[in-house]
Amino acid sequence: MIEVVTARNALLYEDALRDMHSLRHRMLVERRGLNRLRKRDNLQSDRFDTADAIYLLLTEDDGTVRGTARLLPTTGPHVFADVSPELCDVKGVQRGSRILELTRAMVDEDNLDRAGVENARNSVMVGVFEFIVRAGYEKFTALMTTDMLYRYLVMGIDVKPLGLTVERGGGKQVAVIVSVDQNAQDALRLALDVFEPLIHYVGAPAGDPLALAPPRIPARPLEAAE
Amino acid sequence: MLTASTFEFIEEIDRFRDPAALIEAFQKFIRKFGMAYFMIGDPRPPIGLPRERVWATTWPEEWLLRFGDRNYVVVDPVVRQLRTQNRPLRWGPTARAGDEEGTRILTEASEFRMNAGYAVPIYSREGLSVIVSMGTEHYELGKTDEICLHMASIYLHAALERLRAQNTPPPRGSRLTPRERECLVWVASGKTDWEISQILKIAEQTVHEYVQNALIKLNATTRAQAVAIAISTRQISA
Repeated sequence: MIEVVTARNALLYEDALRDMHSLRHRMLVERRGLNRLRKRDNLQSDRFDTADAIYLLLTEDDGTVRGTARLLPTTGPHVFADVSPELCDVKGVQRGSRILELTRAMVDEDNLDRAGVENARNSVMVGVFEFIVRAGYEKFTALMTTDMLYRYLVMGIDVKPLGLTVERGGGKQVAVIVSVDQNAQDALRLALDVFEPLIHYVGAPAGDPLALAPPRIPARPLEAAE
Repeated sequence: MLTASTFEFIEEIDRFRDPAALIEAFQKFIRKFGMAYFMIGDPRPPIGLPRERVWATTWPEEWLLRFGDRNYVVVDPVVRQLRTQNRPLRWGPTARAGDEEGTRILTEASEFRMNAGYAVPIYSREGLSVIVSMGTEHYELGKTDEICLHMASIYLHAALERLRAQNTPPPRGSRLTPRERECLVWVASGKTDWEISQILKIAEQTVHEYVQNALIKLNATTRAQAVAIAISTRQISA
C-alpha cells in the first residue's frame, strides 16, 4: 500500500519517515555515489523536505518502507524552480495550483530482488497517478529518462518536454510535464497490471486541506468467453 | 530556431491520425537539419511471428531494396553498435566498420549520397526495439541539433506505434477495455453517445469509437445485442 504523509499526519509516521530518509541516503549516496548528499546520520534530506512536501511511502504490511516519492507544490519552492531552471529553459518552469513536482522517487534496490524492484517501481508510479487524480491535481513535473518518456508515450499518456535532454546518471534525461486524468491512470494500470487502489491518507485532522476522492479503478479485463 | 521547431513538432504530433501524413511531416522536419532521408527499422532477430522490418521510410527505394535483399541489417556497423548502447550514434566518412562487410555497407550508402547520419535507438523493456536512422550527404548537426532529432525521433516512433494500434481493428472475441465497458454500461441504461460524452467528460466521437469497438469485439450488429452479449459473458453486470 502507499501511505500519504503530510505535515498534518506526520506524527503517525515518525519511524516511517526516518526509514524514508535512510532509504534515500542508501540509494542516492551509497548506490549512486552522490557524495555531496552524504550526511553523518545517514539520513538524506534537503531544503525541499518542508511542511509543504507530500510524501508517498510504499510500505509492506509490517510498515517497512520499500519505496518513496516526494511531491512538492509548484506554487512554492521546488527543485526545478530553485536549483535547475535551465532544465526547463524551452517551456519555462511550470507553476500552478494543480501542478506538483515529483522528485526523490526511488525503491529499495538493496532489499528487493529484480522482480520486487520492478513491482515496487510500478506501484510507486501508479500511486503517483492515483494520488494526483484523487487529490484533484492535474499534472506533475519531473526529470525523466528518455526510456521512461518513451514508455509513457506508448501508453498514450500525455508527456511534454520542458527543455532539451541532459546527461544524467549515465543516460539521457529530460524535464517533462505529465498530464494525469482518469484516462491516464487507467492506461497506466492496464499497462502495468496494477488494479488495486494503493493510496491511503489517514490521521489528518478534520478539515484537512487535502481531501482524497474515492478511488476509481478499472476492473481487470476478463477473458472473452468462447 | 530549430529547438522551437522541434518543440512545435512534438506539440503537434498528437494531431496526426494518418501515419503517412506523420511520416511526411517528419521528413520535412529533418530536412531543416540538413538530413535527407530517414528510416525506422526493426533490427531484432527474426524469432517467432514474422513482422514488418520497416516501420516507415523515405530512403531511396533502390537502397532500401538492396539493404533488405542482402540482409544488411545483420552486418550494418551502425546497427551492431546500437545493439550495445542505448544512446544515439553519429556515423560518417570517418566511421570505421572494423570488418569488410561493414565497410562495404558504408561505401554503398555513399552511392546514394548518404555519407553520414544520425541513428537513434529506441529501447523498450525487452531491449532494442527499433532504430530511427537519418542519412545525409553533408553532416551539419551540432550538439543541440542532435538532441532535437533524438527527442523528435522518440515522439515520432511512439506516435506511429499508437496509430498502428488504433488503426488495427480489434480482433473479434478480444477483451473489452475498461473504457469500452464503461460506455457500454451507459448504453445499457439508455444513454446516447452525447449524454455519455457529458457524463464521462470525453468527446462524443471518442464515445462512438469505444462503442463501435465493443460491437466489433462482441461480434454484435446492434447496440442492444452488444449489451446482451456483454452481460451474458459477464463483461458488464446486468
